[in-house]
Amino acid sequence: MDFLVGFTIFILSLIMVANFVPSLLVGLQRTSGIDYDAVAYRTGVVLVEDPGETNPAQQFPIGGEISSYTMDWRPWELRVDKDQVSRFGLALARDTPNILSINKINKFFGCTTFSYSESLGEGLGDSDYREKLLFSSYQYGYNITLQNISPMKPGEPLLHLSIGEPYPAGYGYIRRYVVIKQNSNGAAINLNQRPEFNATSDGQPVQKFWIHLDGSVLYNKSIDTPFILDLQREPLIINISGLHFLLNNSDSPGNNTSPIACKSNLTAYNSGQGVPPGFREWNGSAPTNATLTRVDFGPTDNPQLWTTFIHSCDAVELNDAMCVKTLSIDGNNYQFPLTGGVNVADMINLSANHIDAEYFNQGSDLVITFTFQNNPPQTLVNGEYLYDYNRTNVTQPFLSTGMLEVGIW
Amino acid sequence: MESLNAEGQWIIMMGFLVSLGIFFLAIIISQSTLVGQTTAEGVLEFPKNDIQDLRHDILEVENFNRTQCPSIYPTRCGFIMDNITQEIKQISLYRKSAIVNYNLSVGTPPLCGSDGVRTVSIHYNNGVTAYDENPITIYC
Amino acid sequence: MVNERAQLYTMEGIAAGLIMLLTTYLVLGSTSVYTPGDTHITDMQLEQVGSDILRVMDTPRNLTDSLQPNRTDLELIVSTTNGNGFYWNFTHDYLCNPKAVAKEISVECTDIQINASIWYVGNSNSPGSYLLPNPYSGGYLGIGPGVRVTHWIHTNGKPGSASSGIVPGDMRNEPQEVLVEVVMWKA
Repeated sequence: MDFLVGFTIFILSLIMVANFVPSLLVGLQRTSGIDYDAVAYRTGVVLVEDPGETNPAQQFPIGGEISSYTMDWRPWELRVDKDQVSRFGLALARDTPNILSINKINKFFGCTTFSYSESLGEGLGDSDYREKLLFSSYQYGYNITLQNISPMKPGEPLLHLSIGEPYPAGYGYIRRYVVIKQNSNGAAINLNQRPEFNATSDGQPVQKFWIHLDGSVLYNKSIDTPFILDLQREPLIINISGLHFLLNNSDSPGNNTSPIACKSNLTAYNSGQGVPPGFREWNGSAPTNATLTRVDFGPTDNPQLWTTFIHSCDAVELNDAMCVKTLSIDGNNYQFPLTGGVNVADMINLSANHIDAEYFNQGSDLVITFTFQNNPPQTLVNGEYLYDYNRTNVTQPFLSTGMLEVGIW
Repeated sequence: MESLNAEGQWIIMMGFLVSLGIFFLAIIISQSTLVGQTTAEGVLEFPKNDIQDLRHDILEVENFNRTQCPSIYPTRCGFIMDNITQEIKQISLYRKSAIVNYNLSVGTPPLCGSDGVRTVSIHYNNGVTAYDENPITIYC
Repeated sequence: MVNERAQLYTMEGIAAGLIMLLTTYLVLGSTSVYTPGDTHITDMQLEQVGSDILRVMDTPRNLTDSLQPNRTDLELIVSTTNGNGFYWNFTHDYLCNPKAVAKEISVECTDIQINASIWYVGNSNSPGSYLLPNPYSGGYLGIGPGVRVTHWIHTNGKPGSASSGIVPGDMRNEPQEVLVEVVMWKA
């Protein structure tokens, strides 16, 4: 019985103590939000102020030769394999905190899969975000949401991108305000409104129209980082329209391959802007189709040098010069390289994901040449179109503001 | 009293064990709060935003010094640049309690070296955090 | 029945109970020092958010010459001493943006007051300041914790102002660096 008295006192005090302990744990639950805040803060800094990191020293053979290696310096958003990414970061560059790249954003939030091709595509999963962003063995819950504040491009839907799960009751949180660099819409060339590319004088090499990409212009140091037309990382888009206004069923000046034409007999279809000087008006019906025979890519002094290094993005190889996402003519898609002639009623659209830095950098001078058939109907187009910071030539990239929220629990 | 050693002690032993348990639990809990507390304070104390901001502005000053200043203010440019240095130094010290200094290299063709490179060095110290960046290379 | 051993059991029980109760009491007493209210979490968030807003407001949106005057929202606001514009921009576009998924800051956004001042070095060669007039709230009285965020900007000359007497007379009318300082506090 004495033992019972002692034991009862012990048990009673134990119950009292056990009553206190949960209140201690409640305090833990409440205050541990601090730790979550710190993780949220860290995650926010990594996303907003860091451009991300790839695994060091990725090497690949050039042209299938194992003996010659080159380093792969491409940023993480251009890697084909997500295993090559070691840290996600959305900033454009190291010294541009709070300025994010829309391409990195799209890759990160999984809008575009982690491969150029949908069939090869492998999106990012929960484990990727944990390994390459949260860096913790503890299985934090997370929600990362990015929305725009000022509008994105005109006509585009509002940005609302999110990964992770909905917010629970208690969580750590940080909010970051950012600016988002939009891609340029590229060059929209309406040849009907650009008479300087209409080849009307004698002695011009007609049927050729080329886009000039001058590295020393595009990577001029006086351009602030957020506004660089950075074709090494951003899409190149070329839209050529109004071709049918330049069609001519007779032979062209200075290119007398057809025996029936001579200069005094030159005719041109009057497309409403009058007949070019030296031409008689074409009396037949309006010619409708130009014929595109080649699209070439190479340095200025050898414009066809790298044509074979262009592949469609489905079959992209690591040492490709350029991966063409779409080559569409009048809305129909064609594979690259173009074989045989393709009739063009009006519109040629070429868009590439990027040009490899090996081929295009500050020292390079590239041209993309569109060659049209040299038989009637002729396409009286000629000239060099400079892809540069002139607003009338290329739509310029611009920045919109946004809000990035990170919740951790 | 001898029998005390043999039989009764386990009750008080249990008491000790439970107290020890609670004690360690408390240590762990207080650690977790302390970690959060010090992280937040560390974030507030570390002048990350100040340094990023200062660096951004000094690079803008360098640009002004190289491009606009000599052409718009041909006679007063040196004076204006001295004033700007004073503004950055004095306001940093007065409002941010930080000692700030920067140096822009002076080359021959308008302020750039003949190699087309200009260097900028930045020094920042607020007593807790010191930051030196030397040199920042600017291609002009 | 009553002997020495039995009393000892009871005493041990009491002692054990006392030890446990004392430990719990001490433990509870010591951890309660760090209550969430004391922490600087909200300060940390506010500081980061404030710095971000100023930085975003001082980023040009389109390609311009890098020293073109007034190319950012903030430069335009400072050079015209546009207090209304500043406070509207700062709170409505950013701090209290209703789009926020988590309402952490915005839910109590009406409680957060802000005040901005411009620091410059005048003709007297010593730092001076003036307030951007705030139509929405009074000045910071220094009561309660406040968070101070700053941003340097380059101006091309002495700022103009719609109403006179805001921009001090001893400010130089020359290109200069000024510090925009924003105090944020809970009213």
